[in-house]
Amino acid sequence: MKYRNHIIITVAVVAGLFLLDGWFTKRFQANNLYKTQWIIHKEKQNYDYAVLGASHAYMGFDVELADSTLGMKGINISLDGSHIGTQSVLADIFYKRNENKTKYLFICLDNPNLANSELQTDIADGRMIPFLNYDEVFSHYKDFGKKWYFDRYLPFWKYAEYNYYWGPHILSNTYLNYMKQDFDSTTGSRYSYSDKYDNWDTTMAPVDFGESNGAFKYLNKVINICKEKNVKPILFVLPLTLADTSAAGKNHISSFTSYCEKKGLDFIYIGDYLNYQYEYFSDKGHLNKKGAEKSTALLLQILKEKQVLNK
Amino acid sequence: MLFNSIDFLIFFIVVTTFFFSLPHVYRWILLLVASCFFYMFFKPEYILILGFTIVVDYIAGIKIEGAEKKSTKKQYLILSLIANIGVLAVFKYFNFINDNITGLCQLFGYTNQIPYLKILLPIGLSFHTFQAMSYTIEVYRGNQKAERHFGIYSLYVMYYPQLVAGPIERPQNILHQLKEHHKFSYDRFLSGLTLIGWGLFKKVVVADRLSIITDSMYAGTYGFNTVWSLIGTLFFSFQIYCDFSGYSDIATGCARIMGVHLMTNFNYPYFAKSVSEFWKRWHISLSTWFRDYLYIPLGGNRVPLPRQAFNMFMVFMISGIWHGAGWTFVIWGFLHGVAVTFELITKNSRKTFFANWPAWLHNGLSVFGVFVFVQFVWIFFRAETFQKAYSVIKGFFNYTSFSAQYEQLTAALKYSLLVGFFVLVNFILFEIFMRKERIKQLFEDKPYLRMIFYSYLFLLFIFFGSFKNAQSFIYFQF
Repeated sequence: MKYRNHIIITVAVVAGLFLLDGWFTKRFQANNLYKTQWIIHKEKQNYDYAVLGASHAYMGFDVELADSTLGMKGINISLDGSHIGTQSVLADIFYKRNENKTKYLFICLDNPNLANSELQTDIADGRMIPFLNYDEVFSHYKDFGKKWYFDRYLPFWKYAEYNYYWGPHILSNTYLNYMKQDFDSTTGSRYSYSDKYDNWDTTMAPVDFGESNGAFKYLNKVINICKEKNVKPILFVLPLTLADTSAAGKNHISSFTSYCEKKGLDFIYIGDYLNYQYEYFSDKGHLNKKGAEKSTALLLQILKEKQVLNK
Repeated sequence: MLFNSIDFLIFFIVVTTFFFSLPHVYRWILLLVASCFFYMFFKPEYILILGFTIVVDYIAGIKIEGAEKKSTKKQYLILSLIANIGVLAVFKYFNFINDNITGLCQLFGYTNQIPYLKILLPIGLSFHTFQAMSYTIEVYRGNQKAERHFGIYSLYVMYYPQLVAGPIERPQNILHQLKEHHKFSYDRFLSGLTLIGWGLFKKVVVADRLSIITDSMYAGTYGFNTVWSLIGTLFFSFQIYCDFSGYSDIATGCARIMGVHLMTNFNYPYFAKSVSEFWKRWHISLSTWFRDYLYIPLGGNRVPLPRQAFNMFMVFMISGIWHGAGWTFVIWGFLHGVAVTFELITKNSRKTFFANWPAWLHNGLSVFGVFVFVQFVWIFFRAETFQKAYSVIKGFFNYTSFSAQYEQLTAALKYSLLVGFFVLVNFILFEIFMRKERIKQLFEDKPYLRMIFYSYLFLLFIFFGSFKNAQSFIYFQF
């Protein structure tokens, strides 16, 4: 009798977890609180360009300014806290699964992105969690270890693990909508200018653009998607508070520039523009609104001079 | 291997399944291999240190028992104690002592030439060396027969549930249990599993959630003011309690499933009515170790009061040092020592003073007073430096607005602060109710009430557990 009761309870708990998992997944996949959800919900749209990257691109590429300057319609699909691997998944879904179309894809290469190919961040990957049953998403994450198998197949485990992003407070919001959207689809307003940052003088680590870097796998994946979808990729690096201008740093930039030339890719480096001009930054890594306008204007000017968009 | 990890879950299922599938004669081998694997999961090479003390104490035990003369027995005991304390001294205290020598040298204008050791502290070192010492001492006292089976003796030191953070067992309690044949018992299995679940709840839901706030407070990123310092201090007192007692519960639960009964390590310590009572309820296996092997040999309660007070004070100073090689731990032990000594000296006068007070008021004030004292003293335990402890204490008197500070917190911290308070209130209520026999009986009599309670715990676990912030157990570092 006792055994039977306990078996029934165990089965009921597992079934309950499956039900909870299904309920949460359904609600979260349909909701638009986080940027991952917003990007993934874009289906069969026509844009002239899209911007892909992490917070640097999200903060530093002024889509409104670019739209008016270029006379085009763009979308910023950058995800703050993401690395090139996660960005490749978003690009994959955006272009292939959801059949969105653009002529150009601006790919912002963050230094840490390329230097740490295998690095994952909860802030970005945590927000991908409800979409783990998408083939594009799971096939990417499963390479990072058994944890992702538990997340994928243990009922409700992923929502318990990431309950800060996907707990009951977020579930209730899918019904009541009392929370402010977690993102700004343009640029600049996410982090306001702050003079409190006390680490201004940190030189950004030398950019390792060596081909042996594992991040190339993901960068190539994005470029291949572009090829398949007939999208022109344009690679760029945005200004840093204190870019590495040492011989080693310059060497990395020039070797990556030659690599791009060899592959027929456009690469624009303005990482050392605005060096030490703190009024253009909200912290050591991110441009503020003023910096984003200035940098985007420069980027567009270079594109124009080099006739990149006409090629 | 952390108890709160998927790795441990797999390890536990595999080991327990094999344990009950194997014939009794092979079980010690399985447990020993599993314990080695468990320990080596942290840092493999440190098993050599364990191996060294195991060999020394095993031989010492046999030699002590075999020796005819008391003096020879004593020599072997001293040898064993030197080996164990020596390992502790080298790995735990060498750099601390060297630090102080450097400071002294600088004071007198000299340069300290003694090089620092570039080593990490082996995990749980203080625990297994103390357990090993209790064996040779008990053999010396004639309370325990020397263990001839090297495998069983190794298992006594290395038994994985209590290897890295106790309870610090006595050979009389555990050695015979490791040899006995334990059949699978469904009731024991359920009772062990319940204890593991409760321990995990304390660790994952309470301790690790509160640690997000205490870590942030002690990092000083948001400065220190009255409310923030108070929250951090309150949260740490429950973080450490749930962290350590959570570990003990999981260890006891794992051992119970395999038929081994470990000693109780915690007994609602924050309900203590005096600091000395607190130590009878907190980390009981260590308190009783010090009582049995240090305080009583120094004279215990049989010596005159001043001597008794001095002995008590010394025990707490040593207890402070046992916890960590740092002056903040010494101060922590010192303050507890002062409190316990004060209580001892003023025992009679306090009794007279409070004689006419209503019991509820006296008890209530005592519990509150002890809780406040213990919380305050935890600051020295948690702070890495004196300066940090000073900043936290100074923060109590910095009456600036908390709402302005709250706005500066990241969204994740705000979330953890609110959830932290929520789970803390829940936990305190559980502790209050679980002490009541009436409630326990009600749960026994009405299974559906038990089910509702477990379901609620489970929901708290999955919705508010801090899985992404899985922390190592605090006491592992000792």
